Amino acid sequence: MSTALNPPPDVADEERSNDESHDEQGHGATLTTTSTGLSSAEAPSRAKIWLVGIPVLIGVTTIALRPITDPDTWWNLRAGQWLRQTWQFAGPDPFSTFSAHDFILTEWAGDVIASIGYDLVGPGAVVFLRALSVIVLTALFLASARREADLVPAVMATFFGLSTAPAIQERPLAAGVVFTMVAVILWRRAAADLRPSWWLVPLSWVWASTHGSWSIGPVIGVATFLGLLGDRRMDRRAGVRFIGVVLASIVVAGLTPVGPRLLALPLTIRSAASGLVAEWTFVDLTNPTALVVVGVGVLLVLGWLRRGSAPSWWKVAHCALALALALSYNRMITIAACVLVPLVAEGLQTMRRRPVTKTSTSTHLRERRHLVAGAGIAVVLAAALCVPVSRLDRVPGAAFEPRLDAMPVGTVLFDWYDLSSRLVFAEPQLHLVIDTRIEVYDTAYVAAYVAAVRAQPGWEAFVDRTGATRALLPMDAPLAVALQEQKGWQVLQRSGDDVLLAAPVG
Amino acid sequence: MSPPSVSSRAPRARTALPAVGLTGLALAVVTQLGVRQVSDPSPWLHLRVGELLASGGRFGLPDPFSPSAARVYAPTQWLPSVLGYELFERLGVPALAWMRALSIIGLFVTLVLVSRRRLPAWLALTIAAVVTVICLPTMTERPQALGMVLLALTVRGWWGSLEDGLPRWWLVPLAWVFAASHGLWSIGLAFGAVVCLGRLLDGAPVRRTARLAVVLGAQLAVTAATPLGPALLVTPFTVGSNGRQFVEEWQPGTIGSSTVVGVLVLAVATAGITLVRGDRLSRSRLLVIVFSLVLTFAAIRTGAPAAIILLPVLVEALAHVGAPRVQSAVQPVAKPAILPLGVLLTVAALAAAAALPLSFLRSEGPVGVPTAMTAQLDRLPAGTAVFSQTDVSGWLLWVAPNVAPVVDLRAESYTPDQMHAYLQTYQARAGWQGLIDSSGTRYALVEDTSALLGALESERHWTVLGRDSGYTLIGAPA
Repeated sequence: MSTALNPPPDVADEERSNDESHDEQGHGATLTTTSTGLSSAEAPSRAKIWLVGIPVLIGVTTIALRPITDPDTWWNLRAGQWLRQTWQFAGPDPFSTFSAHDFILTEWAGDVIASIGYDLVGPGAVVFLRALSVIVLTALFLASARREADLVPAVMATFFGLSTAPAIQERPLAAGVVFTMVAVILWRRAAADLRPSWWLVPLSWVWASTHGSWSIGPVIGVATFLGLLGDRRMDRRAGVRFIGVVLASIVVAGLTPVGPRLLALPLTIRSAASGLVAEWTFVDLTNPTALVVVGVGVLLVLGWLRRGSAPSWWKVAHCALALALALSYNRMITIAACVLVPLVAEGLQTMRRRPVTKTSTSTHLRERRHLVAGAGIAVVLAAALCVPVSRLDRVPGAAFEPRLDAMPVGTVLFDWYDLSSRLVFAEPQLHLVIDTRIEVYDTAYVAAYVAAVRAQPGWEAFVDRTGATRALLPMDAPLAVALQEQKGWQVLQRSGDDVLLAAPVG
Repeated sequence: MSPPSVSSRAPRARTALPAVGLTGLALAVVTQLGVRQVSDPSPWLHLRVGELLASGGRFGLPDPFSPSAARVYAPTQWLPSVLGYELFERLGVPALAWMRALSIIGLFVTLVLVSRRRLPAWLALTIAAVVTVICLPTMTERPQALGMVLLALTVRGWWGSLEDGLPRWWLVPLAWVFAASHGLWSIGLAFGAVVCLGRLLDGAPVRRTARLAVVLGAQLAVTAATPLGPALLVTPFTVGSNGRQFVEEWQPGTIGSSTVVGVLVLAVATAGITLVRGDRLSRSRLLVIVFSLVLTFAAIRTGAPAAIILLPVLVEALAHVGAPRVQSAVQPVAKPAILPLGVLLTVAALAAAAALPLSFLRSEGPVGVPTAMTAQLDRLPAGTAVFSQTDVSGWLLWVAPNVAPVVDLRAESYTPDQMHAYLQTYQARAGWQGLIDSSGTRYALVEDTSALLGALESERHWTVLGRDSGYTLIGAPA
């Protein structure tokens, strides 16, 4: 590749940065030539924008709308309802008599919004909120990719990001992913102009109030800072500003109503959930989404190695961070994709062997208007369709609810972990042996629960200790078999793969 | 990044003394790591296989070990099994510890050979030690340890061909030995294919690459010419299909594995050095990196081979550190003082010899298997069906050839349905009694924590006959 087409990364960055500020100041009213002196290509026409935009719009709306599939949704709704009644963010656990630790409502903002929506329109509100997250995320993907590439590669990069969207569930993590993308955009701008935005600080507060992924924001900041150190572009003043924004982002996360204990909570939850909760298990590449994200990240690095030119070190740091996230836990895959999307756009643009086509301010604004309009149409469609779509929902364990509703207050139910979120929401009168808030239980207690479900030695003592007189378990679970065959528990109801059991009277 | 020239001889270490000292230190550490008590459950199965083959026995149906086996077992690791058995007959349990130590020393020495001509002695020894440590979890007391050494040799040979385009014909007999020793031969052949493809992608003359392809073809031919015949060529698929469903080491690699982390560290180091220097990597090197990464995540058992395959790329990157990006024709780049081959091999031979008495000192008996129950098991009538936890089934076959495990750790000898039934029973899931009843099992050797133990005690009223090393022998009431 000729030098003329590939200015050194730093220079390219500065030029792009200058170009951006140029546009923003409104001095680029006419089509300009590229910095290499080559004539620029035509800016995307309106027809081209709509030609690309309509399939994107249809695709995004289709991906964004789906019935509730995440069992955890129900627990979040219950938490939101409870908070609106008590406004107690932390304290003794109100939901389980078996918990050992205080209950801390870390995701309170999202839970409250979702529960208000649920009270107004039912499950459709949850469907809509997820769709909204996916639509906003798509717009952010496209906006960030468009800064690095022409329309077609930008759309391709957006589709890459969207390929991870099915992993976005109906819960506060969806908002966490959106905030991640906002943080990526802001930190990338900071890397370009060496002026980190102080908006990252309030963003961190809102993020920390919404989901435990808030720590990703400062981590991206640290990766950017370290990369810029490698680039040797940063003076002491800029460095202090970077460190200041990162530290302030962490400090404000400790200033939510939950208090400073929020800062250590991600570690606590990860430690408690590791090995039990699927999304906290390590990624293996038989997961197609992970394979795509890791594969694309590796291809980017291979492209750099092949060209023999390192891009800016902060981009290398972003790519390394994305790969590390993608290979860590299953819940991090979409977040990793957020970091990668602009890098992918840039990589695709490089493959075209020409710089990003410069556009006039009016064209730029027109594109933005189209983007906002498209997102608006998608939001309206989502609002119109969310209620019917929510009716396609198959609530986990719903067939057992009439019998469970009839059980006396305080009945101890030996529940199956995967069904517990719905039970917390729908059967507040029951005492559940476990639920998905794994961090409120003692580690030894959780281990004993797992051993009991597998009917490993000691299971009888554990069941006796809980005082359970009913059990809702998978039909072929060793414990379900053992309770029936060895303890004489009776089948009350079977549905799907699960069975509701009752202890013998007396 | 073009490979540095290897045509000019690099200077030897100025004096042999530092080289001997460094090599001795490295091999002392490696030998310390290599000699330990026998703790892997697999060697007992291989000893039993070796005993059967050495006495003229052969596998077929009905299976000589387990009447319930539905498929003919292919003893793909027959050569080390027979040699191991013969050595075990003479030295006892320390033979297993010694063979493992020899494999680890052999791997280390081979890895040094990969980097010896490119790097200063201290760095070559250090990198080889790092990769050996990454491979350690794989270097247990079974033929796979020998397979790793043979793979490292194969990689060294093919990498040489990638650099200079010359065929290494010694790779052909090596392939026969490899094919007789362990299933990793398939990765060796695949690496050969990667090298041939890589040279084509690099634009090397097709005619010269064709000569390498002939070597690869000859390797394939001799692989099909072991006593197992051409059927050996399909065993990676037949073994793998059951393995991927039921055997832990066939599961995909994740970042929770120290080996995967180790390989990623090597990959990041390679990429980092290359990017810092601004060197260009050729397509062949990129292909090798991709091949290595695919192996890293494909299965737990292929993580360590990935480290071996990545090593030459890392060595090449390290060799460029400190060298100018554009080499001057007038001022040749100074070569590092290389480690003399004689020193390396002599010290390695001494380490191998020292490992033998160490093996006797450290491995009086195996650990992790219920040796206290040997007599009880030995007294069972010939042909007694025993429901055994699979890990311990190899040891059961070795100490009690009179019993017949319902399922043993040769997962490929059983159908998926049989393996599902085994898991259903072992986990005491609904219908667990089916396999116990259909196999006429009256004894079980299971982990103390297994659900099946509780189910047999509570529901079938079986009684505990003995406990040792985390296992319980339980029998049906008379």
